[in-house]
Amino acid sequence: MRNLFQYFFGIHATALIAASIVVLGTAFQQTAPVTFSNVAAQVGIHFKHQNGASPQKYMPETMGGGVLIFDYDVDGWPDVLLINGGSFVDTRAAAAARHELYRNNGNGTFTDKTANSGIGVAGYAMGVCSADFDNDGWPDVYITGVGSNKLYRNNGSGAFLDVTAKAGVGGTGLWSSSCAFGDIDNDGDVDLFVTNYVDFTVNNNKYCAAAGDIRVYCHPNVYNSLPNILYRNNGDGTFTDITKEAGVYRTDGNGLGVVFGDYDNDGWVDIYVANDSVPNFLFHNKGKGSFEEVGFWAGVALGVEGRPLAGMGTDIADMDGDGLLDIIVTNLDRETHSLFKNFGKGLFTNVSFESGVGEATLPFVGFGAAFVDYDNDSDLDLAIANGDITDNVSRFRDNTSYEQRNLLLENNGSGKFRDVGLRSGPGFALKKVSRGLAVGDLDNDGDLDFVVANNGQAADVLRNEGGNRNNALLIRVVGSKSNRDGIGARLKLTVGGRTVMRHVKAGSSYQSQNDLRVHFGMGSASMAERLEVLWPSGEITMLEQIEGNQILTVTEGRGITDKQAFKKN
Amino acid sequence: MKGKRNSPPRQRRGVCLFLLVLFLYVSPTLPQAQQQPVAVRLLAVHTEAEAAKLRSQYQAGASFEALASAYSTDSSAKDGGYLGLVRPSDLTPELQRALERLAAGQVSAVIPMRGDYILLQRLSVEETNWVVAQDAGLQAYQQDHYEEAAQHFKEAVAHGEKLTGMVQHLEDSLHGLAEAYHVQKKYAEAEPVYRRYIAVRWGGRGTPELLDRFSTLLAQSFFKDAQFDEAFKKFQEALVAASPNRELYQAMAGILFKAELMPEAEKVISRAGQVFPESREVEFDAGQLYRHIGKVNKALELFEHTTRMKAPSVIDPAVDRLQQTVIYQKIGSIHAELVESDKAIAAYKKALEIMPDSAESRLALGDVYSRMGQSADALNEYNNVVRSDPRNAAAYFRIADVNLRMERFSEAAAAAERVLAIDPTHHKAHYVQAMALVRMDRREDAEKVLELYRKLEADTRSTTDRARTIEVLNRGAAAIWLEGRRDEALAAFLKLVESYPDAPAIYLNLGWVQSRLGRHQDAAATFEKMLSLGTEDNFLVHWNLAQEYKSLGEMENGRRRNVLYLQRLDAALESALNWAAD
Repeated sequence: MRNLFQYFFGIHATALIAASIVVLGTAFQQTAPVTFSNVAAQVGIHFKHQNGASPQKYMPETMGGGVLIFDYDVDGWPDVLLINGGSFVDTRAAAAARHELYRNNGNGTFTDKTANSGIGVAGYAMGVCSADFDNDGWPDVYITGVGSNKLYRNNGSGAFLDVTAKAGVGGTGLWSSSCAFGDIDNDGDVDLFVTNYVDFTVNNNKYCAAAGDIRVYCHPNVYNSLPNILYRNNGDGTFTDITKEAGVYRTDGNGLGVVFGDYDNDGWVDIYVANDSVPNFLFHNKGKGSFEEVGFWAGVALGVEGRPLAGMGTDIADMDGDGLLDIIVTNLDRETHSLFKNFGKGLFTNVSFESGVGEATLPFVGFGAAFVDYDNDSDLDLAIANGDITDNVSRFRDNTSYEQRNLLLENNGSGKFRDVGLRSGPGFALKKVSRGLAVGDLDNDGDLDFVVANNGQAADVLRNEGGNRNNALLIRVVGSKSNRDGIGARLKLTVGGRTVMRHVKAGSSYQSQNDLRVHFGMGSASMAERLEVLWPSGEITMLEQIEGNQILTVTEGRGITDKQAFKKN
Repeated sequence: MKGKRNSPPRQRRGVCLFLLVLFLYVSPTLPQAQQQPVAVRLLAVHTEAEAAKLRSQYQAGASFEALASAYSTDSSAKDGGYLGLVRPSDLTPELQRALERLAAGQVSAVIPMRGDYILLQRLSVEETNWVVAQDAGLQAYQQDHYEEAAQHFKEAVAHGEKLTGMVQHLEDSLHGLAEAYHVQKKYAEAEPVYRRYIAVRWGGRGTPELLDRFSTLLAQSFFKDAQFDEAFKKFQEALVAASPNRELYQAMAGILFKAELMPEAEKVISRAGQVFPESREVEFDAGQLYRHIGKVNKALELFEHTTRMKAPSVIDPAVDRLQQTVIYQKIGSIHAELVESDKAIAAYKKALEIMPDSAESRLALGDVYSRMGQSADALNEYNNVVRSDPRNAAAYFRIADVNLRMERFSEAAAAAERVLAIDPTHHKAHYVQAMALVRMDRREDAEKVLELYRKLEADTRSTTDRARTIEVLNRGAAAIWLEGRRDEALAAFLKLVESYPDAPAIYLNLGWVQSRLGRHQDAAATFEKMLSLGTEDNFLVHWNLAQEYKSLGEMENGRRRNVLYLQRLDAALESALNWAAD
């Protein structure tokens, strides 16, 4: 017979063990990594980028294409548009290269709808952005390229019409890269900023070499810089080039990346341009679309040690929860990607090394970049698409390769980042020549997925598994006085007494654009105390006690006009 | 004029410490033998043990001159310990006694003298004869009596040929003779002497021909076609046949590297490694070459191997420590590039163990800490540097930059100010200072500084971009030639020299193309024009001109250019010995 002590101990032991299992189980749940897998083929996205790589090493061949995540049929399911290149030497290949539009079927698969979409081939394309420029409720598309840019108006029936000429946004006939929409004058429609790169043409192609005689793609500084273009939306389906009058005309930038963001919280959206190998630009909006370039003053023109760095992709968001927008710029390997922390008064500090981003990114050539709360813990992490620019780099360097893995940098909540890519499933272990990167909740399950455009290779769709173990909110804003997409709106969500801020961006990363819906990770909290929407019109919407794990539509002047629960897998 | 390197000019004897005591001991009544001048070398050290060790090394085959140069504390060390021709009676009694017991060519036992320990070498008759002739040649040359100088140098050459194990003496005399002929414009005489000098200096009889093939290769570095491949094949054959010395391998690898002939440089340094497997210098140069061409893993392997290699047999301990420090710095920098921070730190710390006052090692260590986000540790290292070297602009700049990132703006501004006080053109310091000032609400001051930064940066960028453009266009025109479009290539080069009339590299290629097209007159004119720019007087242009004048039948011009080619080639090789030292 057991004595009392043993019996008592036995009960206690059992309880202890049971409790341990619960604790361990919880800890396992909390510490189980979020993983990503490439499901492109599985979901029906079969896009392969054609770059037409040739012995002549035409520069655009290595610069890749962009990717757009947007809901073109406004059915609540984000669709994907992948941008193609072509060929400068093979006319048949050039003619055959086409962009591909994939409609989200809402069941984890996509269907190629390019054939009837009207988004045809137009030269060698580069980037893409989207907004409802005519406020008719249907998102339109702008595609940039080498030699021609195109504006496609969405007719609401699944097709797009080329309205470039009518709109007056055809570009300069030279090389355009990224684009972004933003309402620079808060007049209720979105304006368009297009970055232009260098004056390369097939006829002035230069012969550049490394290690003596190995032909490589040229450094941008062997060509001349091109000025960017700012188009003001006239509100009648046309745009006016206001580059000079707006104060953004510069002939000393090799523009590759652009993003809109109100970095000084004065209600006027500003523009940040990542320039390749020359100082970046920060165009401060002085009000009503009149700008002043303040990159040097702000401390965001150069990289560490005051050097101009490569500058390919960029994003802007509040990564440390202080209510101020910070900036990431991707650069070459051995340069570090630059992380600029906004410390107020219009000034930034370069915290690349202090944040851990610097050391983590030293071996990589970065392009697309996104601040993204991939694990729904409420702070913004970083995803970066990497790939060298020199396709034959391994002929003369033995510590790098053309194909590189992408980075997933986890934010510890205080603006310190660490590389968790190799612990995050096969998706971030892939080594490719990545360029465009876009973020969106493709399966509406509450966590964010990625679409990666790879140069000369198949695109990847990295599905997030496990991010939604934490709670989240996805918010679509619809403007009425403000532009229809609510682009430029700032959203503040208060959870557990802490407020985090996001804003609606149409164009960022590298030649790409994210799902316009704003995502907030909520951690373990299931309810948010407050959601505040500051519209570009100046209107403010305040909502209280919002339940998590749903997709909300918030309409200006009306509040929540739709809600859908996340689709749990 | 050579003759400085271990060629003892007489005027230096007066500064020898030991000879300062001469005058106390002069005795006019000494026997005749003691009045006969004798050529002597001296080596002085502070301990008997060291003196004994050096004597053993001499007996094992080391050169007394080299030992004296490396270890002697006497001022004659810079002349290999050479005191010149001295009368025994002019020496101290201890040295006199020692000298009396020495036969020609012998080294004395250790002589204690007033707290130091001396070794004395009595030069052989042959060497003494050489010294006398060489000195006479130098004196005559300095007095512009070139014909007389040539006679003396000829004599010195004859004596030098009889000396065994003293090749440098022969080198010096041959060089003197060649120069004496050159100055008199006796090119027919100068040329073979120069070639013989090159052979002696750089390794052997076949060396001049090897270097001719080397120059042929370099002349067409932009045109890697079948003719280039053939030229390289011939060069490699000559390399095997000639058996050049280690230094020539290193110098050629350096020149090939600078000409961006990377695979060729790699082959040369690889062969050097096979021929001189024990040479730490060769292994180091190979590591540097791989580092520069981007094969860092290979470079790391080689540098790590050098840490396990023995130092050269005769090396100043201070120089040895410096070399080891540099090796660990290279290892550290590669680990830093590979983002292997812990290994980088370990390597830099090792470098600091060997040489604690190495600013480069400490700065590099600080840089690793900085990259890891350990700003306080980085600052600590940088501050250590400025404590011992208050004029180290590089350290102050880093202090400024880190303080800026730590948002310590007044410290950043102050440190940037220190940089600019040392180096007013340090444009990044202007930037950091401007950033700090604007954050201190000193906008007006910041504007002025930023303006300066922009100007300096624009100038630098303009220079870099121009150089890049010239390189790209030059390569582009060469590519047209390689595609077989010869007339088009010629037109492209002609257009380039019009657009960039001050770019020597274009002239070299234009001249080469004209020569290949048989237009030797044009080619010669192009190379002459290049020389007239005054910016580039290198051996290659003289080599090219020599070939063109030969083709045109202008023999005297050809010889003259050949002599200049040999002279400049020797200088280029000497200079290239340090190519890996960056």
